Amino acid sequence: MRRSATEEGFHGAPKRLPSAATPFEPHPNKYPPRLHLVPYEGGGALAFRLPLRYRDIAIVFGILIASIALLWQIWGVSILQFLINGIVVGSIYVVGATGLTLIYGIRKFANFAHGEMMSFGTYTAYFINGILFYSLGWGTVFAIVATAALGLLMEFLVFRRLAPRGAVSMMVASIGIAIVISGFLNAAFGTSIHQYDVINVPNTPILIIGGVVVLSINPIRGILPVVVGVAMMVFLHTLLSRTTTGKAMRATADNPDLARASGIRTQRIIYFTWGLSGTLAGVAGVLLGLFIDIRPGLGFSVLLFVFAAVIIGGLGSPYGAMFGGFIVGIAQEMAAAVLAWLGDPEVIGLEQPLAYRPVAAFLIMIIVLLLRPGGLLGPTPSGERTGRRWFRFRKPALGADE
Amino acid sequence: MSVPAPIVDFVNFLIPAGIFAMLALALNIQWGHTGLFNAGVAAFLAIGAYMAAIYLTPYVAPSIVYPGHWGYAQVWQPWFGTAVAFVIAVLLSTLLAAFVGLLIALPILRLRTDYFAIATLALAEIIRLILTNAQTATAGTIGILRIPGPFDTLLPGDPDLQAVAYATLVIASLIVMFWLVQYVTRAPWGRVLRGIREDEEATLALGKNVFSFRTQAFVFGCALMGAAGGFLASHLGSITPDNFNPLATFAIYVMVILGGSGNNFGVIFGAFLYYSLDWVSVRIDDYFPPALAEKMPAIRFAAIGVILVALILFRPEGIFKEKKRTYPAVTK
Repeated sequence: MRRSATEEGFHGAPKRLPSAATPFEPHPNKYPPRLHLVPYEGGGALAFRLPLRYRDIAIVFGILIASIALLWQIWGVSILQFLINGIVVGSIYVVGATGLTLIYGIRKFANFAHGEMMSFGTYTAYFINGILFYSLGWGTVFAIVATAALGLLMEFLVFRRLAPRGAVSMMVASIGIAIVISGFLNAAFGTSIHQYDVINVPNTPILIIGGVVVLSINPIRGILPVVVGVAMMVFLHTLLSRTTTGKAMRATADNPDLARASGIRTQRIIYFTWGLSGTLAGVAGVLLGLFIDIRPGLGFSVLLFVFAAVIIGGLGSPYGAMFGGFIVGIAQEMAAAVLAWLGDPEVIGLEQPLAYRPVAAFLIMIIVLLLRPGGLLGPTPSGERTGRRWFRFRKPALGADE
Repeated sequence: MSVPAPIVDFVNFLIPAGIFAMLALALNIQWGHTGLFNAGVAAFLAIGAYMAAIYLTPYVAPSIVYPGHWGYAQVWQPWFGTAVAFVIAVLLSTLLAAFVGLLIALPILRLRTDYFAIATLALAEIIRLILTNAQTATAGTIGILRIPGPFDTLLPGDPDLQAVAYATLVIASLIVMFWLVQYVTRAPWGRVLRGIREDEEATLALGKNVFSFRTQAFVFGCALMGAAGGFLASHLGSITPDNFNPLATFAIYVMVILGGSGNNFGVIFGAFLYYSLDWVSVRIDDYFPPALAEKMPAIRFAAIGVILVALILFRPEGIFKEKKRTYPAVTK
């Protein structure tokens, strides 16, 4: 009996045909479905028939939009100014957070020196721009080179040796390195506050009601960070998804031993990742210096927000860091409106209410840590459950959780 | 009676060194024995210090020149002197720090080491924000001034003699704390903590409630940090939120790792060694040219980091290794 070519397997071996008893399944890894619906076992009121990560993101966006709508109802359209500020701050955090999360993905430790790497970039650009009087563009180039070199040096001198000893050793060492860089910058540049030598541009109005500027954005301190942030996100996405190096990075992050066995030079990839992380830190540092000002402890003060962004997105997940960066930035700026309301003597009468803006970011971080210890976009394959259920009515069997 | 100058110098070295040793001992319970990376030591120190300062000083109303702060000295002054008030203040500091530690522990103590470190660091920043901005309670960045020492009413008008007595008190308290920590960590309780540090799941499999033990260790450590804060407030005489920046935390880590984490005697030795190095480096600033001398704080700062990295790289077990205890096999 002659079979058609499609029914025949390799060298004429009979191919298993799809039937009702053995349903046809495509190869699991060839075309992973972007969004396949997972039945939520157990049911319950919150049984969205969606993979958990999409549900989480939908919930976060829902809360965000609902709170913006609520604040809009109370304060009117001027609340959008906080949203604009939040997006600007958020795009700076995104650049910092992606650099941090790449290192976590490949070295599996929380790099406390990342904040000071950003400071290092800020001060390198200041050295070129504010002391040698070249343009800030040259300052950025030198900041990127210097910070990337710093990252490579850290890996070469310290983390390469500490890697076999585990994450905690590397974390403590990174704290030590942060202190060293901070002390070096203090000794070299003093403790006074500086500014970059750039032209001051007036704010561009976006919305004018009755001759009063309601919404505005500064071209240099506002639009530039957003443009650079988006450019960095596109660059990183292209690198990770379209290039061999990016594939090798993802493979090394996933399983270094297996990656090495498949012929990837993992140590080279690790050096490359440190360089990339340093590049992103340098860019973030220059943006920070532009957006805030240049002062000692700048990087460390931002480090916790960057950590919050990374944790919200899931440690080690670059896309999660992008998402988390914007969430932290927007939450922090929008919190200003709520805090100003709390500062009203008739409500609570909180003193200096606007100083508590960071608490919003930390609060979101803690909530995400408690509900989704792996973050909203943790590094798990698509469609799997990434965390525990929100409400548990019964204790699970031993070993069912984590 | 006048105290000779070298003794006053030595005593002024001994008091802060003893307080740092208390902190190192407290951190050793959390980090050395249980493996909890508490990056918020400064927060618990601050809670203790501010509690003691508020209890020991009189209420100051807000004015144009000074934001004012809470104070309870009016409550105890008619009844007893500063010595009894100091004891009560330290007890209150201990209790408050332990209470805050418990509140913090319940949600975040289940987290992994790196998440736990970030969460406690965030907590320390929140506490510092509150201390800086709740100005009518804590006097903001100016801080609480003129905190009395314990011997102000017993030995009036002689600051040198007061310092000698205070140093004696600090060292005596340190010895008591050392004995207490040594006792509990040698007991089966401490053995469980070390079991958690080495292998959490194995300890769980032995039927120990790991979360409960970690909470106990964390709260115990926080309580000792609060007590050290009480001592620190009286020693410094005035406290500001800047005294409790994250660097204070990491300096304690250097002491613990330098002395040998897990070894109670070692961490006290590490604290004294670290503080004496710091003491000497401050004293030799005068011999440098002025251009260099003004950079010295930053260089000293960097040196802390260099020591920390070098220790982790080349001698992670510290000067005094933790004793590996072996226990006789259980036989019928």
